[in-house]
Amino acid sequence: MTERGWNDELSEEEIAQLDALLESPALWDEPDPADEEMIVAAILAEAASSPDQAGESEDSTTSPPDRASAIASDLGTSNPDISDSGTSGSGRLNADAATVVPITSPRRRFSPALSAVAGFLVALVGVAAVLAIAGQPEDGEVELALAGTDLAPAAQAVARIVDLPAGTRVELDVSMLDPAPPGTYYEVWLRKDAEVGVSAGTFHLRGGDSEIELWAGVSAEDYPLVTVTIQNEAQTESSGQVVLKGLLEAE
Amino acid sequence: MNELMARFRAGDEAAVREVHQRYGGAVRTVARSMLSDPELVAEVVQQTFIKAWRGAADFDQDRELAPWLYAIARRTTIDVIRREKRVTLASTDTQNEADLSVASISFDRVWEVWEVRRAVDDLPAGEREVVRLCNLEGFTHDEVAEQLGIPIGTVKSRSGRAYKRLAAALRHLDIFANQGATSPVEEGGAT
Repeated sequence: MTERGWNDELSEEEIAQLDALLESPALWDEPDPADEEMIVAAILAEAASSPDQAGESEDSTTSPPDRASAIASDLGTSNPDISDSGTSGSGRLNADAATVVPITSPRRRFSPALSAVAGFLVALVGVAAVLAIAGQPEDGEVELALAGTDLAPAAQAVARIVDLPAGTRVELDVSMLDPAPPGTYYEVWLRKDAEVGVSAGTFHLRGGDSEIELWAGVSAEDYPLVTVTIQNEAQTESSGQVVLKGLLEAE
Repeated sequence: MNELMARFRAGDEAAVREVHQRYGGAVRTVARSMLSDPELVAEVVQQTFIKAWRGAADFDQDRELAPWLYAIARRTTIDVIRREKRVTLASTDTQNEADLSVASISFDRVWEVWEVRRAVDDLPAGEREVVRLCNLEGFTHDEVAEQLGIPIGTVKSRSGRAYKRLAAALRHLDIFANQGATSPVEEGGAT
């Protein structure tokens, strides 16, 4: 509506443009208190489960959430979210803790400084270079740093691998990786090379970050290349969409 | 703002609420400009602030918070739209961002929506309410004066000041350069 008796500074066109803009209901939507409660609950829950989350990021590059969403864009699938009820269509988030199997070993943080001292750069199968270290084994366990690829450049992970009588246990501590969108999941591979690999298992992170325990039926000594791919639920073989990778070097 | 962001980054509940109250409306407007489903709009709003918190440690304190939040909101909205549209899997040798193929997702238009909302939010409360009642609710100046219990002259002067502030704040946008173009604040473009 236009009742103008006051204006002598704006042109008629400007007034008409503003009139048109200001009529839209979307422009006047107030923040929803219900959204605020969900946001607060989710953040507090995540902060409580990851006490070193805030203020201690070691990545000073692009904000991870935006960049990591390229994963979903590339696969043409869903947006990463923290809801376990993505198919319900409710759009409401679930702030419950992660559903992955907890482990008892102390959580070790990935330290770029440590890796710079002890590691080396390796170019693998013509894609982005990775930083890999062979940590000092404790009770036969080796520690391997995984670096993010172009699909998830800010993502990092530490893999603790130990050969046990039942198989090879891989404990993965992932950071800066968005939850897999509904309809997709992450899969860990132990590979001999680009052609030969064995799956160590899958995870999704939709319940939040946590340490992940997986098992492989092959020895890490024989399959030293560790990769994490993002898979579509319809896929049975590796998608080739690698988000994290590292190489275990024998000492 | 630096102090607020520091507290937000630390997960201080009051700071989280304050950031949402300051920018939640604008984030909501961006989402509503591309989504019609209120549940999806809510999802976008919630995810935007949660992602902002997760990335707050990397946020450069010398930067403006609003553009950063805008980028997260826009990206999150697009991702939700793509999920709902179930875009087919991209080729295996593609590691770059897929082409945007969703209708009405114009970067410039969404940015304009954000800027308009921010300009409206920056209006003094009295001016904002007058403009809202006149433009959104469709009341005349007389009716607004009666509703608010203020003289009609006050209504007119508040409306005039508000328009001048908005024009000054938004003149850099194409919405003023392209006279007669349709409003960028179009609700529910894609879903």
